[in-house]
Amino acid sequence: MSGREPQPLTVTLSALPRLAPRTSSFIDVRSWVFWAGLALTVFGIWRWTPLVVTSLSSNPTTGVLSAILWLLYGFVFLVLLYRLELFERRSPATVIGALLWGGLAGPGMGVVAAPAMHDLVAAVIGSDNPWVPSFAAPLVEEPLKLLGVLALALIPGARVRSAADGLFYGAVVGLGFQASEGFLYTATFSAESGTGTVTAMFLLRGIINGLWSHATFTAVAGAGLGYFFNASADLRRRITVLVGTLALAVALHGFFDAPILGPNPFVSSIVKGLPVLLLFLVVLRWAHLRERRTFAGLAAHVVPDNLVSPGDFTALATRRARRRARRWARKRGGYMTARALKRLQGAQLSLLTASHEDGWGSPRTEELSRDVRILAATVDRRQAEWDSRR
Amino acid sequence: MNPAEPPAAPTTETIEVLRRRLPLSIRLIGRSSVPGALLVLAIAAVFIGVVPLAAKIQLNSAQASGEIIAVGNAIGLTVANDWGVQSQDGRATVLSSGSSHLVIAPAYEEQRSPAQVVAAEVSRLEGDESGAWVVGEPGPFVTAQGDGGATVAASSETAATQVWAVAHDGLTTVAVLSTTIESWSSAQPRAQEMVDSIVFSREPGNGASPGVSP
Repeated sequence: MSGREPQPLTVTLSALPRLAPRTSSFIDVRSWVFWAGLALTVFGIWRWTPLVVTSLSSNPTTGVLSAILWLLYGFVFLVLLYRLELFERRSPATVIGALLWGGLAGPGMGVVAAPAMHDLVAAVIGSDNPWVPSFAAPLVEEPLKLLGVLALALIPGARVRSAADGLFYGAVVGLGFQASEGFLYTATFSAESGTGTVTAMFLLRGIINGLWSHATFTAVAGAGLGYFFNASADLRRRITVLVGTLALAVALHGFFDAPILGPNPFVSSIVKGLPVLLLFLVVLRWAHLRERRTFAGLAAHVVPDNLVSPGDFTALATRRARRRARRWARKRGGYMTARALKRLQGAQLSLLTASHEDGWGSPRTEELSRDVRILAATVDRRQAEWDSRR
Repeated sequence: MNPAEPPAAPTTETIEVLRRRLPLSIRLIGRSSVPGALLVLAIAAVFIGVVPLAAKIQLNSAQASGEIIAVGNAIGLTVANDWGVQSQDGRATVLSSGSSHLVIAPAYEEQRSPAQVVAAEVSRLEGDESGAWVVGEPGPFVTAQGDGGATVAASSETAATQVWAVAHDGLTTVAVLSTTIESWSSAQPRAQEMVDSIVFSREPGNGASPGVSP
């Protein structure tokens, strides 16, 4: 997919002086997009909160239990998403912004739009048609979730600078949406019942059907949006990828909600979920390869070799390579050397990230270059101490 | 890159290529954010303004809000806002609002209590092969006229349903709401409103048993 895009352009851009974003996260009070996003989040809270309050007050026990379960669910999957990051640690403030969009703005607007879309689809294909949810839900939810990633991409400080960034923030928005929606449905339907319904709802929506749900769909669309904003390919190609990945997310969501494959939720979920998961992994691989190619180019052509050489990048390119390098350092220089190398690897990756995001010569790259020099000297010192003890 | 070498200076050709193919994310830096904000608000307006308006226009052609309708010979109810009568025959009256339906059976003579009627519905839902339902626990409720009843709600991944049974002087009626889970928060309060407005007024109809199902 990325074969036709000339790599040197992306890399050359990082070598040229340019303006840097004025903030380190999406919180940019001088950006109208920030205020538009905030206004829509307030709208979402206004529409979403009464439903949440009703669910909690109808039965505080099941409401609180639902909240705890879905918060834990969101937390566990957020940690997993962080583990999926190949090179960079994204700004926690921007990640929280994406979660807030997914958990409040998206569902709050969905409360207004989703029933209306169901009514419109029902008017077209018949209100008794069991396919109504599989057409209506994705047509509302996928664009509304992606709108959050679009808002982030339009704020330069959020640094949505690659397909991998779009994928990551899409997954975070989707996760927030899933946890918020799952909580509301669980709390609502268990309010008149009991904790047994909470468990059953959580199993159905979180485990059986949730493992390849909203986060996966929005990650796919988010990768396309990240490509649209960051590729140097021509506009037609970028629009094709953006519209194509959004259409794919809508289709995957519709397929997942489709009334096919019988009543057994386990069989249905696995048979429907596996293709969804496979497609997600393909998009993830594509985004990671693009990211790795850019970073390899930066190490080869932009960042000085005494900071990150192409050889260094070979040992940074994958998590496995980094672990292997640390194991080797531990064997050869002991635990302290391996620990120092881990910190050096983190600083080198941050330097490559900063070069990509803000350009070489930016204040961030200058600061991180100093860090890399100090940490490289520390690794050498630890190694020397180890050698002198032996 | 060798530390002694500065990054290669771009040629005129490179600069021209860059000008044409500079990624959008970089072109946005330092530019006005107003167009982006308007784009975000416009997309949101489609979903929270245009789509609901279109649905409202669609619904207005069929709604009968505020109307009191007779269901069989023995009960009447007030149609809620945005709802309309889809069909009526001797077996059931079907009210609808978009993708949501409320099916109400005419009153019939029933020996069982509303709780027992609802318990039978629970068994039916649990054995339903058309969807994997998470069925709640049945609970009591009272209509605006003071008639006692029982109700239970259930949901699947994409659908939601609620069954009510109301009894009055040996007569019982059953109402079933069927909707999508996304429409539940807007459909359920209206359906509850209509069930609460049920008034038993005359003798039972032809004695037909309810033929309603979600």
